[in-house]
Amino acid sequence: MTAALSELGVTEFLTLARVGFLPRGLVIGSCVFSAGTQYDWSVATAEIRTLSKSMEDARRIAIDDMRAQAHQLGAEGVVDVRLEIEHHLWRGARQVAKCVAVGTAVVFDRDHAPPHLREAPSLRLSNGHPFDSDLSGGDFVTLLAAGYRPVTVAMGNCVYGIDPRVLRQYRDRDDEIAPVTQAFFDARELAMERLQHDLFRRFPEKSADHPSGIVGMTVDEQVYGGSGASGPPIVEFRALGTAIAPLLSGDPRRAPTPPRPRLVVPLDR
Amino acid sequence: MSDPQDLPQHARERLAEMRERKLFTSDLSVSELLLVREAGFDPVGLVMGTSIYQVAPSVGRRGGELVDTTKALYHARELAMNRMEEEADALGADGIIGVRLTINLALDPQRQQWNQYRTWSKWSKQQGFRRPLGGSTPTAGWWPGWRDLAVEQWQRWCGMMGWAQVPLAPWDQPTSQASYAFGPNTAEFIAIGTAVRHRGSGGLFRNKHGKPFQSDLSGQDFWMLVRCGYRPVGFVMGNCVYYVSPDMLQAPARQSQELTAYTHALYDARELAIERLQDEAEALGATGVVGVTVAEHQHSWRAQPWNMGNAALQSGEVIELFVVGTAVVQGEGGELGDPQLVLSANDPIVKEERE
Repeated sequence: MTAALSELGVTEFLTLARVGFLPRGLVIGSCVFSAGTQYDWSVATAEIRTLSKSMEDARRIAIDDMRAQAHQLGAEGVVDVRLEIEHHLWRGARQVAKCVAVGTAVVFDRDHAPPHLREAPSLRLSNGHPFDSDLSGGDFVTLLAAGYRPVTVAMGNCVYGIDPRVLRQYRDRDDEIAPVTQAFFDARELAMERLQHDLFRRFPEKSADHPSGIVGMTVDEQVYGGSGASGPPIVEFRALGTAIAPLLSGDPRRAPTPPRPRLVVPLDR
Repeated sequence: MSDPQDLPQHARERLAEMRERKLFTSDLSVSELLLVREAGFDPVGLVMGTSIYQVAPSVGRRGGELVDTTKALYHARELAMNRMEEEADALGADGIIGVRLTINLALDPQRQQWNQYRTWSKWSKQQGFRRPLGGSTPTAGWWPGWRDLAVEQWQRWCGMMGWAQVPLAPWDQPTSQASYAFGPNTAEFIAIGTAVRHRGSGGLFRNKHGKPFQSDLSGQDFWMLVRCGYRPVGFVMGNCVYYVSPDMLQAPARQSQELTAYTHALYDARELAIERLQDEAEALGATGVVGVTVAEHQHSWRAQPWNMGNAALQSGEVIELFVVGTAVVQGEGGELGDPQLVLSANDPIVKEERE
């Protein structure tokens, strides 16, 4: 067995080891793809579907790649998943995006697990694939004790164009720019809606892994173009979170009493 | 439960689906989720509202409050928060916790240029381009004719790299801030939070107007408040935009002394903002307001971004005092027990690096 790489800190490593999880290796998936040139982008205030689609595909390829690696390693799951995107302009003013998904694959080691957890069922999904989550090791262990398990990293995105002519009409007025508000609002909602749709498609209501909720959800944005650069402003919205589901009934990982909050006064600074 | 009219189509679809399929979305961390559950609440969904607002610059001759701008900035926030409330209402929530109110204030076009200029000069120095000496070398560190030189250098550099087509220069590259795209004096106001519903009590936790309460408290703070028998009733805010004229900023003589007019102006603005917050809290029938922060924003209505100190002396400056907090009502009882002293073995530095 080769040495297992991991990005875990000491505390995180020990927290995981205490409940029988050991790092199995760093898993990385990546995808480089072209997002076209600015001439491919429209100037209407609407979604740019081709761009939305290609960004979505790129992310999916990267994360699927990562999942496949974890599966190959025989991992139980992947924790601490990070999804990074870098944009580059390559020769010929082509916008190129590089998508990288990094996580730490973990295995459940029955021999080193505490005795009451040795017979615990696997946390793999019902199709035998490892779970993945962007939770840290500590959060992962707390989640298990509370009777939940992570299922997958859920994603949704939306690329929206904005017509610069709209902005000009509002010059020198104290007023809400309603069309752009609607556009931004709609784009964010669309990203969040896609996240839900994607989740429901992968885990329909009858499946064993149907998630009950999403934690740590964020919606962020990135802008290309606009008044500083050439071309109309284009905004990408991205929603990201970890879907969770209840543990199987009778799983000893669920703490007999739910974790009780306690007031503490930390003495370090 | 009213059907929201103001919300975009996809918001309505998303909320309906979430309610139907019993899926909750949240930006709570794992410990926050557990604490909220412990306090007797269930998260029902991530809710948000936004408003993109044009705030026209209006600078008076004399120092004082800019009433129109104050109202505009308040209205913009209110619009975003009302939309968020509407979403929460549509989900049948009793409240929203962890509300974050953020502003993407559009940068002044001149300030954008200044940023581009800085990017270029850094790049140019790195590549070893020399700046021609001459009368045009600016005194304030800002070079009016830099663009021509920048274009020339960039093309030469691309030629050196053997590129047939010249790509966008680094200083014309996209930024990660949305404000960049809007144009001058335009800002996006975003309110985002997690809607929660109380298990059991039907609408007891809603506020006086029958709407879900809003609060900027984290899950941890919320748990502690509820445990102690308090209940948040609303996110209250007050603001005041103040123009400090140049004569307020200048002392009459060359000696150390208090700038009385300036002190007074800031004092005044702060008091006005806090007073407005108090009025809001009173209107909600609150016992008190917790977690109040007083922030001083200097918005981008300054003439010369590169030399702020001296420019302010000539054109004055516009400041916004913004006060927010969570209004709470004291209920009955509540016991929290004694806190435990803990010597933490976590290395705080490692944690910071990993984040």
